[in-house]
Amino acid sequence: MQWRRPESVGAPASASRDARPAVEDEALRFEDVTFGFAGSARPAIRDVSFRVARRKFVAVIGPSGCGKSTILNLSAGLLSPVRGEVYFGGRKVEKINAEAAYVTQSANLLPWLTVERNIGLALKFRDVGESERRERVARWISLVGLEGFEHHYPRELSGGMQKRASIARALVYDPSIVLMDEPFGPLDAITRLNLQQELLDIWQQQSGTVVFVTHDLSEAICLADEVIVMSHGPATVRKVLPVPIERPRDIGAILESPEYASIYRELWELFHAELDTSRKVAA
Amino acid sequence: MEVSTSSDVDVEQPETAGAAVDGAAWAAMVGPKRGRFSGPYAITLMRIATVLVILVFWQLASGPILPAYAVSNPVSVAEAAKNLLTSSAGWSDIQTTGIELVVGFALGVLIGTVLALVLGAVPVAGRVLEPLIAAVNGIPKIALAPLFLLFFGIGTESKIAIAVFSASFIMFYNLYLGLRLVDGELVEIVRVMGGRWQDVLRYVTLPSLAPPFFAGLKASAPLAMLGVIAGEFIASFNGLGHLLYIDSQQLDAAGTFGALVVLVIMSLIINSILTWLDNLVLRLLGLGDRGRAAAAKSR
Ligand SMILES: Nc1ncnc2c1ncn2[C@@H]1O[C@H](COP(=O)(O)OP(=O)(O)OP(=O)(O)O)[C@@H](O)[C@H]1O
Ligand SMILES: [Mg+2]
Repeated sequence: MQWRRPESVGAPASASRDARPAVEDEALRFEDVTFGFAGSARPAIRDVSFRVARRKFVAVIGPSGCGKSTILNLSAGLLSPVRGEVYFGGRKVEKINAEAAYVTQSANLLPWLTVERNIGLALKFRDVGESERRERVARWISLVGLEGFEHHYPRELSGGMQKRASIARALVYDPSIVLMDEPFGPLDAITRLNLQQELLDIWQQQSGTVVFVTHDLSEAICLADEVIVMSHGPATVRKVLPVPIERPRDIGAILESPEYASIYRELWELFHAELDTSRKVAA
Repeated sequence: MEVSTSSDVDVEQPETAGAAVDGAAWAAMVGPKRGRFSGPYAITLMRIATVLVILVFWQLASGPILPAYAVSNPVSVAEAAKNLLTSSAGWSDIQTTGIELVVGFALGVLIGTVLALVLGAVPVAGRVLEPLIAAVNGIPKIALAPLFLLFFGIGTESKIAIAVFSASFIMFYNLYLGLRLVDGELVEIVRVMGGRWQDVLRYVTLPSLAPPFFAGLKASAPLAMLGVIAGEFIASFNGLGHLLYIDSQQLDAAGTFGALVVLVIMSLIINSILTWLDNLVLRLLGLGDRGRAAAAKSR
């Protein structure tokens, strides 16, 4: 597939493909990206191309170990592609992408700072004044329901509360894109449902771009505008599936709707085919 | 379940802080449990009693059971220690050893810390120098004492040099290995949040290094003292090590024990200063047990 890549760096990579929306409303674009870890025999992801429009909520699903976290790390500029390019807002990602916010698989709060100071840290880095900082931090603490825990240290919080603090920390500085890596992965079902609904409500007010990695089909459908289905590792994009459920959404209502059932079936078949091949490959 | 912002159901929930239980009663319920013999005072009393029993046994056994010329007895030792602490000659010995110890320890800590941070920041330097440092560290520090006496003379400087050498390796290894334990994901998240390198240093690296730093201080202080005293044994004009050596040569058991008592007092003082500093910094970082208490208070 390498022949499809334009030789000259200056030429827009999208020139050969028509019907592509203008770069202004594009948040993130992967252009035939291949990445492998040094010393590993096979690439972690292979020829991955996809495009995320501004203000869209995109879910990425795929089998465990297929390279989903790698895709987020590439988007954040923490890794750089071996081949291909990652564009953010039309510009190539070459160093750490400080316009992005990253909610990692584990909460990763700084253990020596209180909840309040953890959430305010990015604002401090951006030289936001003391009073505005307080105001915004307080707003987000109440949005994620952590009032009364401002002065607690992370280890004094439950797993779900830490997760909410890390989501507040990522959203407080109005990042143009939020990368979330299975943010609700290790939580119990009830906390998870609660947080999913909270995230929907928050996002509906805020509506920045979100790339949300999950292995939960139902979560992907409930939250996202589009679901990117990855193949087993080394991952390629298997299919991009739109989720035509209107907003504002309510998870309870979605789960009972006929659209949900049909999208779920479609995703399940895709995913199942993937799991089958991955088992055959492993055998 | 914790407080949920999105539930429409209006269930009356008790306040999270536990308003139903009165504060003092709650504190008593969750506070440290105290058995009859385990309160802080009881423990202190038992410690004092143990020391007293040993002292009384020492006093009575010295002579009838144990040779008095070798073990002396607590009353004579106390007299000798008092003499040491009140005479100007005694104070000059204490001062000499104290200065050698404090200066040597401080310089050793400084050098070990700087070396660890530099080698940590410049990986090439780390890879080049680490085996060399390991080789030098393999030499027992006392074996270098004669060399330092040769280099720096038999005054204060040679003892300081030995203390520096003894303390700096422990500090170096504690911090150098501590740097590897700095959580890479925390570094990355701070960078993605827009932190510059100095923010990474301030918010991730330094707080992560606080525990190994203080562990290093506590481990290297006795080694600095060992170096100073051993140096004084080998060759010196004065100092507590010099005194110990001379007293034992003159079969003055009471004087030897007296000097030891003063050394124990010195090391206790140093250790309690380090413990206090450790607790203070860990509390400021919210990592110590008292971080919990401080957080509870500011609620
Ligand atoms: N630091 C690393 N060094 C070498 N290989 C790695 C490293 N991190 C990940 N990999 C490999 O890269 C592949 C993709 O990893 P990645 O973490 O992106 O998977 P994932 O899709 O996020 O999986 P999961 O759903 O289990 O989190 C895996 O096969 C893994 O073995
Ligand atoms: Mg992952």
